[in-house]
Amino acid sequence: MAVSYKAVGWNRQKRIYDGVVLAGVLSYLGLFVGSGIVLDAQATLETLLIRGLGTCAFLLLTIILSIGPLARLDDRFLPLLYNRRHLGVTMSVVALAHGVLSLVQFHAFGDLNPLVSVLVSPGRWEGVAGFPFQPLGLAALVILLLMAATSHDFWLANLTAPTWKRLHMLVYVAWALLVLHVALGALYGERHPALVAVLAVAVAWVLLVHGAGALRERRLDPDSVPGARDFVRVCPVDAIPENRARIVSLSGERVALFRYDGKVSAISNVCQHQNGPLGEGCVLDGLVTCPWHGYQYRPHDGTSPPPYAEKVPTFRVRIVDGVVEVHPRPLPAGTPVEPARIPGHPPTEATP
Amino acid sequence: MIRPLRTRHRRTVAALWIVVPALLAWALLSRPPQPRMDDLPAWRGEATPAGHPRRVAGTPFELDGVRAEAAVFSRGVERHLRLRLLERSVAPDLLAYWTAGAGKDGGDGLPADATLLGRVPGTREIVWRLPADGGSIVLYSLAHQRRVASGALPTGSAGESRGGEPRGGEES
Repeated sequence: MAVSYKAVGWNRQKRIYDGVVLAGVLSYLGLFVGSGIVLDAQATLETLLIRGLGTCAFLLLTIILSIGPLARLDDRFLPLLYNRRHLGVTMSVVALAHGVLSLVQFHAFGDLNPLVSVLVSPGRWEGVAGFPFQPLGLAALVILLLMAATSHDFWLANLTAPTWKRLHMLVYVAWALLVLHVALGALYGERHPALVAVLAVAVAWVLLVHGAGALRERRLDPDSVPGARDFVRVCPVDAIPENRARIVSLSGERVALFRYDGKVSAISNVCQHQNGPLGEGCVLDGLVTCPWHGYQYRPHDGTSPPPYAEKVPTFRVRIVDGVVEVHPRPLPAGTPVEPARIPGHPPTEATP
Repeated sequence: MIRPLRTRHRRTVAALWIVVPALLAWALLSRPPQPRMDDLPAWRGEATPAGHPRRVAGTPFELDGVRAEAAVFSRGVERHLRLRLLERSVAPDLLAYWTAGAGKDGGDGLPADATLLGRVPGTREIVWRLPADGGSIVLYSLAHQRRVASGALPTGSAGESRGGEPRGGEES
């Protein structure tokens, strides 16, 4: 969280994360180029670098696309999600290096502008066989660079989270373009079955984890109480673990019911930062803490503690016969709501 | 709120499930077969009388556009071309094509029926199996997109048998 503009909000976790990513990228490139020199005497250093950077970028993109659904399926992947943004920027830089080297190697010494040369490179546009693969890679690179340029809370705040999310969903378009870029490019000449198998496994993996994640999300969005106008019985109060939440879907949106200090409060499940699932977080020091990036909100009014200013909508809540009931109409973000007290629990100190 | 975003995400994933595997399979299956010369006979000194290559009458022959040693050999119905450039070509990425015609079709480009034989390895000797008897050979610069040399291939029956057998490395 930050109350003013910072280029990068460094902390220990981010430094470790970035150090591991950088070491991983350099190690991969070193191994790729080193083994290439030994195994392929015909390949030049530039060619090995182009191939190494390209495969590294695709591998990173596969990992990045896997982190989101994996974190939804298993909490142990949440640490990877924390600094995924830096991983994405790293991937874009590696992809840019691949693109620039390819441009220099194959297009820089002719009469045409190199970028024009990429777009008019020989190929058959009317079919898949012989389709020019380089424009596909260029289009994907443009998307990745646009995403990298807007991978900052400055843009997130100014574009608003939904718009920013829509923009960054273009990563799936970039991914599809890159799959074709590889299939029609590198695999057009290199016919070893192992290379085809590696690409097929990577594609299948991304599709499988996203399919599993989408199915899980769909189960969380039942349309059981659409358009309810009065309090809705949700669950027994004992079904909510202490300092954790239960997520329910009301009137088409998700609400997180937090149990803490003998009380229950209901706030929107959507974090203001990157729309993270607040209900999958926990209550730390009396504050609801988002599992993605640690943004915090007071459970009774959905407001971040000073000096921060983020707010999420709140919901009226009550407990009747040991069952939690929530009013489905959201109150304006930051509206204080009296928490429902759990019978049999003594009142504690004032809400922070 | 973000439920519409989640719905859009689910639909995107569903579309990717259909589109990406289909395009990937289509791209991989649409790759044309690569001509390979793996099945060239091992001719270096172990030729048997029955499978011995014989030089086709009319060889060696000349290419216009480049100084080269070129000869055609036969073994049964197979025809093989042995080629060695006597000068280093200034054109990079020099490729050899076979065409059934006289080799002059297509202007400075390639004839429509040109079949790739392989890469010309500088001044090193190379042997290719020809698709058919006769026709022409065209040397084409991929980088310059133009014809560098061509020559009609001799046709007819085999002439002398020994001393001119192909020795060159086999392109694969």
